[in-house]
Amino acid sequence: MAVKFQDYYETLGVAKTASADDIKQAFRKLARLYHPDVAKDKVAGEAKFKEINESYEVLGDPEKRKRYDELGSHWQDDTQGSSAPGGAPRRRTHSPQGETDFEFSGTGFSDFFESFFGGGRDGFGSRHPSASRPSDNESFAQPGRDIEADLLVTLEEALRGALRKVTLRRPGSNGDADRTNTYQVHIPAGVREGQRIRLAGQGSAGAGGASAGDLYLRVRLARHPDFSVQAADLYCDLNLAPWEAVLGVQAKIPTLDGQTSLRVPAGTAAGSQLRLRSLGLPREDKTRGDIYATVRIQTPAVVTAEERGLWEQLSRLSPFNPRNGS
Amino acid sequence: MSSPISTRDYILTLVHVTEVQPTTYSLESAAQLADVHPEMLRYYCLLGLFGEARAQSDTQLVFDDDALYELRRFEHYRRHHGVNRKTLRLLCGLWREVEHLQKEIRFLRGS
Repeated sequence: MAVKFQDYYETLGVAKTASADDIKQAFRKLARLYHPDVAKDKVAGEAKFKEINESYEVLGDPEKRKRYDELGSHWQDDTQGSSAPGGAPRRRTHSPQGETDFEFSGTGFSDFFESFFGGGRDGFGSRHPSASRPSDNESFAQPGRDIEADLLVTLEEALRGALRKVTLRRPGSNGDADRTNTYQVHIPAGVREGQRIRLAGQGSAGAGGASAGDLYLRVRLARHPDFSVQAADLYCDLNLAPWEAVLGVQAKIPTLDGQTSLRVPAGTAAGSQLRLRSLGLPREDKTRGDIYATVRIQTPAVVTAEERGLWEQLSRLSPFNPRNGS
Repeated sequence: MSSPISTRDYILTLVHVTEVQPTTYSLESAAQLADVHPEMLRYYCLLGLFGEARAQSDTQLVFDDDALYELRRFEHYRRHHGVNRKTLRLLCGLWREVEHLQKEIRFLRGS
């Protein structure tokens, strides 16, 4: 089955020489634009959001980015069975006839990603019947391999739960027809990063009448433009002007349930974390995690002559010196 | 006269729709699905292979899809790679630590 090359740099609109910060900024900008909650065209927005997420999943990780860059124009050689320059590993599974065993759609990741960067379709279990075939006069039965694939789940889906359609296609062998199975996968509210959902008996076929392996869908939480996830808690940055940090402010911050207002107390230091209770992801005990807003103090890049005068006046008046702790 | 229709000219695609949702299993069901004796599974729990949450023998043990995946992985390494229980325990600790560190890195890199 043909694997289409994904140009992750083009998707994020960055040059191949872009720095990690440039890539992060490009991701955030595009993710905010195409996030399913804000995109005008929900369906197209969701597809684009997943593309952007996949691109950042690779380019935002220095090791994966290095592997991707090494693949370069030789990526097709890799899918054909030869090893790519730089030793990029082969991840697709192949049947003895040289065909790919499985092709997924609806997981949120492209086949290209699954082939080179996915969790590994080629799970544990019996490798190939010939690997441990008993002598000819013994009856032979070998259970099939378990297969694993990644399933991209947005934070909103993790919060509310979702129903996803995942399609798995296997090419027919010995002239048989292709077999396509479609699964309505219930993603429960509170699903966590790395959690597996089992599709019983949907892995590789067993040999000699033995049972088939299982297919496991491993949850990968989509990167969010505003939040990082740690268990059920969400972390975001709260940018404040210096005077807002000194005087306090009522600031608006995004949550998965919509915008909310947060009272920043006077004298808030950079790096302090403000907690919004029970606005994070669901926990197993049905409660919700929290949102932690980390204060970042931003300074204006340009100041007018009048502003500069006021800052200078303040610097003369204030005894505060952050370097001696006063 | 028309020529007979050859089925080789057609690609047939069979489509089945199946409902899937995360499931939990009793000790007996999990043991059966992973082809291990229930006592062996209980022993794995006592060894702490599934983490401390399942280390108590006096509570009713319930296994989710993740636990079943791990159990099948233990059995695969034990049967096909000759890994003994002591080494399995070590491997489990390492797998858990790697997963924890991967999550940590992912968090620290942020969005």
